[in-house]
Formats: sequence, C-alpha cells, structure tokens
Amino acid sequence: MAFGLSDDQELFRSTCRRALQERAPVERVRELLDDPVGFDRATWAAGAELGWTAMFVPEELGGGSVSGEALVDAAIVAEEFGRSVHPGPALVTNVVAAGLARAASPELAERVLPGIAAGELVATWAFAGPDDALPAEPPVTAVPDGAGHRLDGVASYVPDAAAADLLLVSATTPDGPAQFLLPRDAPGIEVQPLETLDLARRLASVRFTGVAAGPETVVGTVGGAAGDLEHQLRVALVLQCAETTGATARGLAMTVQYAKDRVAFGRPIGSYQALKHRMADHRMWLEGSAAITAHAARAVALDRPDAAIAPRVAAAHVGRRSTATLHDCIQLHGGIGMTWEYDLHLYFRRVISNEVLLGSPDQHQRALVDIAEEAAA
Amino acid sequence: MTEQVEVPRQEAPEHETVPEFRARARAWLAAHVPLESPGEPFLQWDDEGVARDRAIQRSLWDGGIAGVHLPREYGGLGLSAAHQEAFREEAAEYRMPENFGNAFNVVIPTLLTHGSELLKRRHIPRILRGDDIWCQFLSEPSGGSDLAGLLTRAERTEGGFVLDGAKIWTTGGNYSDRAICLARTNPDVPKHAGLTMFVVDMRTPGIEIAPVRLLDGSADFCQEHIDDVFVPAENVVGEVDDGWRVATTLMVNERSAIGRGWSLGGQRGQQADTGIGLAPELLDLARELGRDTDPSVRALIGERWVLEAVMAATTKRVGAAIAAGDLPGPAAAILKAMSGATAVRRGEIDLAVAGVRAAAAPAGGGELWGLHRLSSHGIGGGTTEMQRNAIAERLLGLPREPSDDRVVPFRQLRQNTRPA
Ligand SMILES: Cc1cc2nc3c(=O)[nH]c(=O)nc-3n(C[C@H](O)[C@H](O)[C@H](O)COP(=O)(O)OP(=O)(O)OC[C@H]3O[C@@H](n4cnc5c(N)ncnc54)[C@H](O)[C@@H]3O)c2cc1C
Repeated sequence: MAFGLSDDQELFRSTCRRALQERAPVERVRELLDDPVGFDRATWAAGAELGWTAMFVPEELGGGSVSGEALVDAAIVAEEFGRSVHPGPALVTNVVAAGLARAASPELAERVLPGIAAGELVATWAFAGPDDALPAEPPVTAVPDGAGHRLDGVASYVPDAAAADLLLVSATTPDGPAQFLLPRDAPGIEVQPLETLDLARRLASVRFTGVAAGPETVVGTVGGAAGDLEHQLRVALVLQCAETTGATARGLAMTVQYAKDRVAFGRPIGSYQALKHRMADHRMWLEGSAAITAHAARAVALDRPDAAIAPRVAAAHVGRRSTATLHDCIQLHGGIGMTWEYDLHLYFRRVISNEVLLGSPDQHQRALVDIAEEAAA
Repeated sequence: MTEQVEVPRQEAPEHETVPEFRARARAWLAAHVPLESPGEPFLQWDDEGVARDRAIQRSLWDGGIAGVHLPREYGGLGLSAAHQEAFREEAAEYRMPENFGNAFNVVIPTLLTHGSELLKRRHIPRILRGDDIWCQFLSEPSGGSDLAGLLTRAERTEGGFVLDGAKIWTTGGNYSDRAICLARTNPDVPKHAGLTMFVVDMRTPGIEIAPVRLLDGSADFCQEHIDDVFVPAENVVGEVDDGWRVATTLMVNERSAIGRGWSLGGQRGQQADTGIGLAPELLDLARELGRDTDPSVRALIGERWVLEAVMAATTKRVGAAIAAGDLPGPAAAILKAMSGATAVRRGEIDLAVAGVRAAAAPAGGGELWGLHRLSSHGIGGGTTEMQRNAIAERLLGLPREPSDDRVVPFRQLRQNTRPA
C-alpha cells in the first residue's frame, strides 16, 4: 500500500472521526469560541485514550503509533481536526513531541514524553517573529548565564500558549540556534493572547524577560539546533496541510450538497455548468492536496531525499488552492454563505489562517529555489 | 466459420520468478534496445520514428519480453502484474515503442474485454511482434466531445458492413495498419443505442488519409474520408449496436493509461525513493537573463516545481486508488483535467520568466519558451470541459444539464455540425 492507508490506519481514522462528531460537533466548537482556554478538556482526554498525542513518543515511554508511521498517523488526526474545525493543541503538541523524540536527552525525554503521550501535558512551540512566520533566526535570544542561559525577546503566533504546560522555545545564541523546554509558568514568561482570524484557534505572543533556562532544559545542542528546528517545521507543515485538506474537503462537501438541494430558475443550481465546473476544479485540486500531503508525510517520516522539498511543495499548493476553494464555496452558497450562523466561515477562517501561519505559498516557493541553489553549489 | 488462426509464440522460459524475469529483461534491453536520449520527443510520427519503434517492439518479441502480462493464448507471456511492473521499471531508461501506445493501452484491453476469439488471436500477436500500429477512429469533423452523436454510418451488406463518413484528429493515422472505429449502425434509436465498434484495416479501398498539421508545426494527426469501405462482419468488436459499451471500456482504459503516464515503460525520475526533483531549466534561464535574484521570479520558478510535483503525486495516488477500487474509474478525469490546468499555468510562468525571450530564439538553437504557452490546451483524449463534466457528474453526483438527447431517436435530434 504505497499511497493508501493500511487497514489499521483506516480504522484509526474512522474512530477519530466518530469521537470528534460525537464529542465536538460544530455546535460545541461554537460554544468554545468565547472560552478563554478555547478547547474541551473532556474531548482532549478521550483523544489521549485514542493516542492523539502518543504517536511520536517511543513505546518504552508510554507512546506508540497505530501503524508505526507516526507522522502519517498524526496527519490522519490533523485531517479529522480540520474536518471538524476542532480547536485545541493536539497538533502543536505533536510537533513538540516529534522534536523532543528526535533531540531531547534521555533524562528530559523520560521526564516529559510519558506525560505528553498520556495527554497530561500540553506543549507548544515558540519560534515565529512578530512580522515573519519563518524568521531566519528565532526572535528570542539566549545568552550564557552561569551554568545555563538567560532568555529575552518576544515569540509570536504561538498556538495555545495559555493552555500549554510546556513551551519549546527556539532561540538564537551567539553560537547559533538552540532550543529550550520550559514550563509555561516559569518566572519571566508572559502570555498575551492575540485576536485571531480563526475563531477556533488560540494564538498568543509570549514575552521572555530574563527567563532562566538551566542546562537540564536544553533540547539538542546549544548552537547546533538548526536541523531540529527544520525537522519540526517539516512536521508542522505536513500536519497543517492535512488539517487544511480536511477543512477544505468538508467545506466542498457542504457546497456540493447545497448545490444539489438549492433550486433556481427551475432546476438545481448544481446542474448549471458555470457552477459545477468550478466545483469540479476544486475537487481536482483537493485530490492534489491529499496526494501531495500524503507524499510529504512519507518523505519526512522516512527522511527521503526530498524531505526538505516535499513539505514546502505541499504547503504552497494546499495553502493557495484551499483558500481559493473555500472562497468559492461561500460564493456558490449565495447570501446564506455570508452569515455568521452558517458554519462555512469557520472552515474558511481556518484555511486562510493556515495558508500563512507557517509561511506563505510564495515564501515556500522561494525556499524551493534556495534549496535548488544550495544543492547545485 | 471461425477460421483457425495460428498464434505464434515467443521464446521464453516457463515458470519464471519475478527476479529471474527481471534479470532476463535487463540483459536483453541492455543489449538490444537504445537508451532514451534526453529531450527526444515522446511520439515521433515520421518514417524514422515509426521504423525505429517497429524494430524495438520486434526486438522485445525476439527477446521473449513482449506482452508480459498478456495471456499466452494470444502470444503474451502470461506472467503476473508484478512481472509487468518489473518490466516497466527495467525499461524506464530505454526508448520504448511509444507509437504502439494506442495498441497496448487502448486496443488490447478493449479486445480482451469485448473481442471475439478470432479478433484476439489474429490481432494481439501482430501488435506484440511489432507488425501492427493502431489508431483510434472516434472523433469526426462534426464533433468529438459528443462522441455518441457521431455521423459515420455502417450499413449492413452481404458478409459485413459498408462504412461511409469521415474521421479526424487521428493520431498516427497515416502510419497505422489498423483502426478501432466507432460508427452508427442504427439511427432509429437513441444515439447511444445505435453504435457499433469495428476493426478497420487501414489499407481497405475507400479510406483516404490526409495529414493535418498541429499549431506547433508538428504533423501527428490526420483526417480520413471513408467512402464505401467494406468491413467484414467478423470485425465487429462486441455486439452490433452495443458499441457504446465497447467505447466506454476503451475510454476508461485510455484514461487510466494517461493516469499511469501513457508510456509503455516506467517513467524516469518518478521512483518513490528519489521523490520530487527540482528540474533546473527555468532557473538556469532566469540566471542567464539576470532575473534569478528577483523575488517574484523566484516565487514563479518555485510554483512551477509545485505544479509538477502535485501532478506527479496525484497521478500516482489516483492511479493506485482506481486500481484498488477506492475511487471509481471516472476519477481518471481528475488527472486529465489537472494536466490541462497544469500545462496552462506552466505556460504562463514560462512566459513570465522568459519575457521577450519567449518570442524569439537564436536560429537553430535555444529553446523557444513561448511554445509552452502556445500549445498548452487540454483537448486530445477529451477536452478539459468534458473532464469537468465527468468529475462533477460522476464523482460529485451533480445533475446533468437538462437535455433529451439520451431518449430521443438519433434521427430526430438536431445533429452535430461543422461550422462552415
Ligand atoms: C493532439 C490531439 C490528438 C488527438 N487524437 C485523437 C485520436 O487519435 N483519435 C480521435 O478519435 N480523436 C483524437 N483527437 C480528438 C479529440 O478527442 C477531440 O478534439 C476532442 O474530443 C474534442 O472534440 P472536438 O475537437 O470536436 O471539439 P468539440 O467537441 O466540438 O468541442 C468544442 C468546444 O466545446 C466544448 N464542449 C463541447 N461539448 C461540451 C459540453 N457538453 N460541455 C461543455 N463544453 C463542451 C469543448 O470542451 C470545446 O471547448 C485528438 C485531439 C488532439 C488535440
């Protein structure tokens, strides 16, 4: 099964979908829009039982994935989250878990990974700058201070920072990038919620003022964390693409159904070619999104020669096409699509926000040229 | 009255494992088949290209590696799909006889599904031996998208049928030995119910073939006048008046072959382990023109790679999903439509990056980049609009535009016309 999913993965998908439909239908998501934490602890606990945050954690630390393909399994969860515009930190917690599984010392891994796998610890990742989703250097600085480091600066667009127990902080040191894993309530850390386009997603600025990070908090090596950051970005891009693809599939399915049911000028609007050809194009690009996301998941998971290329290709395609699709889904609905009460805008908000949160399509496309030039040099 | 057709056999060991077969195919290809040279056209419809492809197909036969998974009773090797896949992998680097593409991708599967024993025994071995190149007689001057509305008539006569009409856009028509031809046997029933599929010998008196040049200057396809052409009854594929079913099989096979990549060998550089490549041509051009540092040009170059990679990943995914039954056959329309959309955007990007270089190149050398924009349409094998209909109606379940053309007898319909 080179491209499809195994039977175990299909079962996992349907279990995830059912859990989300039962526990967090869109009415429940709407209830949480004004909630300060913004996600549902009961669903989170149920998800932990299903293994939503266990896939990147080694089995001896209480983790494990359904199929042995951690990133593919995590992408299944992400796609189902998108389909339900589910709020909450499962995806970013998995990105942190993937980073820790790769680079954390055995002691650090033992200290936190069992809690992550069990759903007892929520983790998030702070790396973006206030004006750039993908800064060349992390915006937080870390300077040596005694046996450890002192962190200063502001990281932006940090998902679910208010709910998180742990912050994986990417920082710039005089020797190069480094990463630290800190409790979110460490002295000197201040979380400032942002107003978000995606109403079902919490983002915050996190200010670090003289935060002390001891040697036990270092993930990987100080100055040598570039590869770890890059790996986390690849994982995050794959999960984001999967989530966007799920949201887009749902939005398009709603639209196709509406076009079959809505009658104008004596027949269903979905019988007019001017409309159905547009839906056909969206269906076509959606298949492309699913295909390139699946390809990228395996490229990253197996560290194939295109592991740097594939997630950027996927992000560029999925980001741009999905936003165009959801935009048209609203257009094809007419007035009802423009209302607060109709759910389509919740999906549209997530898709727009995902198009830019980890870098824009143009940025990813330019990054491909950088990669080609580096390879040729 | 079935005449006994002697089926020739290839020299090949019995009961070969995949690795044994692979080793034998590898050795034969290396010794007897030319490597594919970079930049050479996929289809070369001229005397040289046709003679070369016939010789290559003949060589595969002589080496006992032709028709790997086709039944032994029709001259094939009768091996498994895994053997066939091994052949495609081994053949990826070599020039394959692509002029036999219609024969292998479209005609053989259609004959295997609907053809009589006689047709299968007579024609499949001739293809395998490199004797017969096939073309498709479907489109007509009066229309191609509305295939079931075609006008060419087939009237019953003593021992067979007489065909009258015209076909057009026939890829390789002037180099083909046989055509698979759809014609109307009954105009008094709705249009889909009165069609019959025939095997037509291109040398039958009454077929007049004229090459038609494509807009890029190449001469891949032809127009044919069909004037009192006799076709024996034994050349009917399937049943008389049941030709739409045969045509449907044909089109499904055509689209899934397009999904696989059409080539008779595997595709180079598409193997799973190397993944997405970043072809340097456009970046090289930008560097030559001093535009490679312009951020908007860099974004366009990246977008072109994105388009190619998404097309390749989707081709694999949809092909595998159709084969596994996870997607229905009409999903192949996604690939056809996407390759059309991809070609259009690729043409736009090439034009934007090349600038004035797209309009003219040094004589005898240098690529004329504007050609990518000139011929980037999705028409052959069914237009992009028809693919959109298929996706919308067959995959999304949206209703057809209302029309009574499926219920009214063909004779009473307003017929397809070619504007003057
Ligand atoms: C390179 C090439 C190779 C070809 N090889 C072969 C071959 O080997 N054998 C063969 O038989 N044919 C071949 N064709 C013909 C091809 O299949 C037809 O050109 C195609 O099906 C379109 O038919 P048409 O040209 O008659 O256009 P038409 O059917 O007249 O279409 C004209 C326009 O109307 C649109 N249109 C028509 N009906 C609809 C509808 N219901 N909804 C929306 N839009 C519609 C079409 O999309 C198109 O834009 C080839 C064509 C090309 C370009």
